[in-house]
Amino acid sequence: MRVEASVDNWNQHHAAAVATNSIVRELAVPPSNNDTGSSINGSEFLCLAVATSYCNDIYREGRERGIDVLRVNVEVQAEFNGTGEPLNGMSYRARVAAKGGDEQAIRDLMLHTDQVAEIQTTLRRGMDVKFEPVEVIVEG
Amino acid sequence: MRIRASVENWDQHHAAVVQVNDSIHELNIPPASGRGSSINGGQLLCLAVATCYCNDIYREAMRRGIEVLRVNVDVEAEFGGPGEPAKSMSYRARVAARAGEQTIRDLMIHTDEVAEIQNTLRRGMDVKFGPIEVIVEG
Repeated sequence: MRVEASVDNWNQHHAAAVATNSIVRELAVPPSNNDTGSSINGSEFLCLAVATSYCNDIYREGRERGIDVLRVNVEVQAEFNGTGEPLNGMSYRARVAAKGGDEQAIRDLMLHTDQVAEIQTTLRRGMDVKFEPVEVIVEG
Repeated sequence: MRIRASVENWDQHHAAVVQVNDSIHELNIPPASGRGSSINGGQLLCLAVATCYCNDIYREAMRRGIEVLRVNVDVEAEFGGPGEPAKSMSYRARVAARAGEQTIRDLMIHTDEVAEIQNTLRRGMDVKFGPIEVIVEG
């Protein structure tokens, strides 16, 4: 799967687009207030990538286990130390509401999804990404 | 600098919020036609790399007294099957600035070396940079 992104920034304009297998989508990302770059920075997008990967993958993995995921909420947090320094670590937590499985089955699904989420596995080759399943909601 | 991001997805709704310290931005990302987000994690990872370079080139140029007028960054990554990490990533950039060609070229190469997302990813994978294009403005 080929994935692409581009940004173009000039004179209070900012254009951001992404694509998977040449299907392009534009994102509305305003320019920064100080006229230099994007109002949303790279580390925010990195955290959002982790949250989104988990969100999309829990539906995929849920389907494979016969669990119908109804709602997912993911919160990611990271700390950057200084200019030019890589991220030291990242943590995230999730809440999932699903039916078609008991609490343990949904919890197992959540832990499994953390292990196969592609952005998490990409980042974990070089850094720690902690996961905590904070809430499981079993729907009738 | 503390960074946060959250997504919430349910029944054809998708909410995405990012935060740096006390500054919060909501992104308008539509839900997927089935479930989840219409923009996937891999796309956002590539966008993180592109945006980091974009913002950092202005920062590094300011430190060197160079006026950058325009920056364009294209990132490309290859993912395998479900659960597999990114196989490869590369990106290229075009910068227009008021400075000599070699000065702009040096700035671009330096920015690649101090871009925080690139440095984070490079601890575990190769992130290639180039080719670069320099536009000298009068």
